[in-house]
Amino acid sequence: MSVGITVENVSKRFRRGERHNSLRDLVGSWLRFGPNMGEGGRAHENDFWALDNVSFDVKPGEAFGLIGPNGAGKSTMLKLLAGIMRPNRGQIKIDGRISALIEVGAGFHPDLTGRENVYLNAAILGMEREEVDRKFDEIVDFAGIGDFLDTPIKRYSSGMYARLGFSVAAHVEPDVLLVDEVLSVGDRVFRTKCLEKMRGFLERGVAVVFVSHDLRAVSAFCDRALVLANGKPAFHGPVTEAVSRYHKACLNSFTADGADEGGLVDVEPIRFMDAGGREKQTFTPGESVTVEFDVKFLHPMVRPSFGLSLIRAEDRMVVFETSSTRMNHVTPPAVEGTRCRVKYDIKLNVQPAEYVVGYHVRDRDSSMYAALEEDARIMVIGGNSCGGVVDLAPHVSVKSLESAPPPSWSKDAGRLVAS
Amino acid sequence: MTAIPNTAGLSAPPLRRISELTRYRELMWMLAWRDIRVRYKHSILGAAWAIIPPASMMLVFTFVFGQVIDVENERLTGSANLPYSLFAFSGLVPWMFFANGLTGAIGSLVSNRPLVTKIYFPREVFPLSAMISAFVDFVIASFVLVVLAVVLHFYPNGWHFHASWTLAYLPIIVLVQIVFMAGLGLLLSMANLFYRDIGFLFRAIIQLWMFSTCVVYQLEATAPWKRTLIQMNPMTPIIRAYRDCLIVGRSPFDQPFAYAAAVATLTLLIGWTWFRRREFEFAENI
Repeated sequence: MSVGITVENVSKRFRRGERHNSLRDLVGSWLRFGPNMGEGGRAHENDFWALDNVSFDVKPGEAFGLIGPNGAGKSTMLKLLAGIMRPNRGQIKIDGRISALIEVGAGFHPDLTGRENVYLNAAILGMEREEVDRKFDEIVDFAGIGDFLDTPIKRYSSGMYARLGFSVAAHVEPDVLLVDEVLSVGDRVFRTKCLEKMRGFLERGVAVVFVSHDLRAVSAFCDRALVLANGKPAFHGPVTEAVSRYHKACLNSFTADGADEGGLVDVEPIRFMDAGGREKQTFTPGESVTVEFDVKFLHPMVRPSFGLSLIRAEDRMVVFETSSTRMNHVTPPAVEGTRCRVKYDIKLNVQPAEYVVGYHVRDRDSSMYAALEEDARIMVIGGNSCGGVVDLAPHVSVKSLESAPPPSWSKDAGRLVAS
Repeated sequence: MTAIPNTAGLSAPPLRRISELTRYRELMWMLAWRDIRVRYKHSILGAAWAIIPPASMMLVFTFVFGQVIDVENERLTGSANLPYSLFAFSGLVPWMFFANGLTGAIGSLVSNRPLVTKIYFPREVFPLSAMISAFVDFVIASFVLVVLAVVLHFYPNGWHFHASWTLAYLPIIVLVQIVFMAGLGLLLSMANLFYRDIGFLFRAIIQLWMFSTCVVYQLEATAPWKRTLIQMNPMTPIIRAYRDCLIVGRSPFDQPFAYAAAVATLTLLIGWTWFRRREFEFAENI
């Protein structure tokens, strides 16, 4: 049976800061001839594990998601899969030809024409020349750059550039496909085309590993997913559950700033109140709402900023987001152990739906960050007089511009119909 | 089924590596072609720039040795009627291939950083393709060398060009030079990735290296005790071999040349082995 991808207990160690602190290190590394930093390699005080004991497998024809906050180790995992780096421990087995949609248009040279770059990029991705010849028209069609084929790509728009890059990569015939955030390129039509192309790969039995911050795309596309947090596997299983675990992983995740395990802040449950000060969860479009939450600082922050976002529950679309910093609201430095109350007044000019309210606390002058957006939900209910995302509070009037109204538009006719 | 070993594991065996490299030969040519294309795209003279640098150096040395300090031709070239310009040019053309090929190779990994960190293929492709693009310049300049030889043949100065059977040895000399360059190129491009000093150091040393190679003078022009030293440098027998088979019409295969071939082979073996062992560290250190 063919296996696609098997990742067994993979760990990857990186070193913070500069590589060589002393002449001894430098000379030592020069003399070192054998494999570096293996299991037996010297541990270093600045070492950290970018990936810690990660295992998963992807079967042919399966789409597997890798999600997690920034710095969780997703890109490192992809680089290990692509063979660019080697793990310090564990093993990776891959069945067949790998294609990586990690950076579209890698190796594109701005001075060369679109045509020349297609050949160059295809060679970089491991395609033979006659294979490119055969698929050339298809590649150009897919990218939709026909008229600009012989124009140097430095004159391309960024969208055209990305489309051409994606198109070349998508025409490699891989057995294993690694995708990193590339679907964010191009317009909506092109994104749909890309997803179709990737579904086609799945049908042909390609094993796909998909990394994205677009949770909607991940849950639409993948069957299973792995949630990474600080290099450790936090959850491994069905994609719907993984997405909800992702938010928990984001909670109190912070970057390499040295904050301890206890988290940065304690946040009291968020409260929603209507104009009359009554606490409730259900509102109507256009209603004024006060959002309130209490924050207890477990770490000092120089310039804390408090953010709020409204996310449609059904498809996780961010409908609205802001923060005190963005609104130029100056906040005093936070002393460890003190508490403060954050209050946002908003007008719910949104369509009826269920919404998740996300809120975060971060320090503007460092990268400390804590966010939570899982359990706070509100419902907006009301008539379905309009669609889309927001409620623009429309008023409508229709008036004929003809001096003599056509018969069918006459008031009499209207009355006739109405009666 | 490919297994990606961890850092304690071994690299792919050389034979499998060679077959992998041949799969990517297309890419090697494409990258070389890209370099050439881009190098001459915005220049008016275009490929003439492959000829101008060795030609101008030849003129400089002809002027300095012939006019400024007036060195006897026989002492410089080993023959009373061999024109110095041809002597110098025949050394400068392969030397420029050496110097330019290595200069390109040394920076090749660093300048292709996005590819090194994002996409996998055998990393040897970068230094090797840099050398291919220098090789193209070498071929163009070689044509000019032939033209110069023919012109001087008809020029009444007592020297005549003898097209000789020794020309058949030329490919072997080129091969030895390429083997030596490939070994050095792999080593130095890798070293430059870890320590950028290597690139600066090389640029400082390459001029000195040229003068300690018999590029613009013959070995016999130096004091005997210096000859041994100069011949330790494998480029000396290689440049000399070019002249022997192209101009002098003498078999180029002597003991120093065998030594140069041995050093070249050893350099390639060491360079390539080392390169393959540390290749997987490139992306995290670049």
